[in-house]
Amino acid sequence: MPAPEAIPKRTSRGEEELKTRKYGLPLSLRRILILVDDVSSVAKLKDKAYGLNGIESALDELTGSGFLEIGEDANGVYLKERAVALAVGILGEEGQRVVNKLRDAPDDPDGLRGVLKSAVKLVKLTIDEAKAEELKRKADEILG
Amino acid sequence: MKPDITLFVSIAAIFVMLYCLYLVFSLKREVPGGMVGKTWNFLVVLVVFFTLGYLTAPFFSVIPEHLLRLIVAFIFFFGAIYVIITVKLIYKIIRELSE
Repeated sequence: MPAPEAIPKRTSRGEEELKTRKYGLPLSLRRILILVDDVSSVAKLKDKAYGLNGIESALDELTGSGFLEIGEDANGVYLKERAVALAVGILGEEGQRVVNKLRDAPDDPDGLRGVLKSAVKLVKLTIDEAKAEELKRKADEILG
Repeated sequence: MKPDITLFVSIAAIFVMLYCLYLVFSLKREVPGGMVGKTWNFLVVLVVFFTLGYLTAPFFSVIPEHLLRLIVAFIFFFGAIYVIITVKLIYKIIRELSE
């Protein structure tokens, strides 16, 4: 079952199915495929699909059959947004340089991890050692 | 106070030190805290002290000798402290960045 914060994206197979109905997807799954916009998280899709049952299992099924993907990119974008929000929350205005650094980070989790590590060092050296520790601890929780 | 090479060098040193003063205050905004920020405050105090000391340099010829020796001794002493702080700061930064 996808995490509520994960962002499903349509694959080329999913796009093809929408355009041509080539794979004969049942209507209930097709509705969910239409709802996916490459931006909304699973939680948001659930809100959008109010009245439709079993959206999570439908997402699982669509992912399993290759119409959707919840790949590293989608998760990476989401993780980056959380990391930026975390830095803004902890550092406030003082952390503008760190926030910019995180915004410029790659979308993949490994790249983001590397940038976060150097951001923590920057905070420790130039802003506040306690805030650096807090940022490190909470970033570890996000990235696992 | 007659113009000679010593006076010229002293005035040049004052200008360089005033530039240092400008740098430490303007860069302070870039490092509000953290390991560097804390050490930076010491450096600011020392640069202010040096600037005051350097400002006395053009008057060395009219300052009593015992006072002159004292001023120079203090500048040497705090100069040494400045070097220690700077070297330790560089070491801390290198250690932090190489972790």
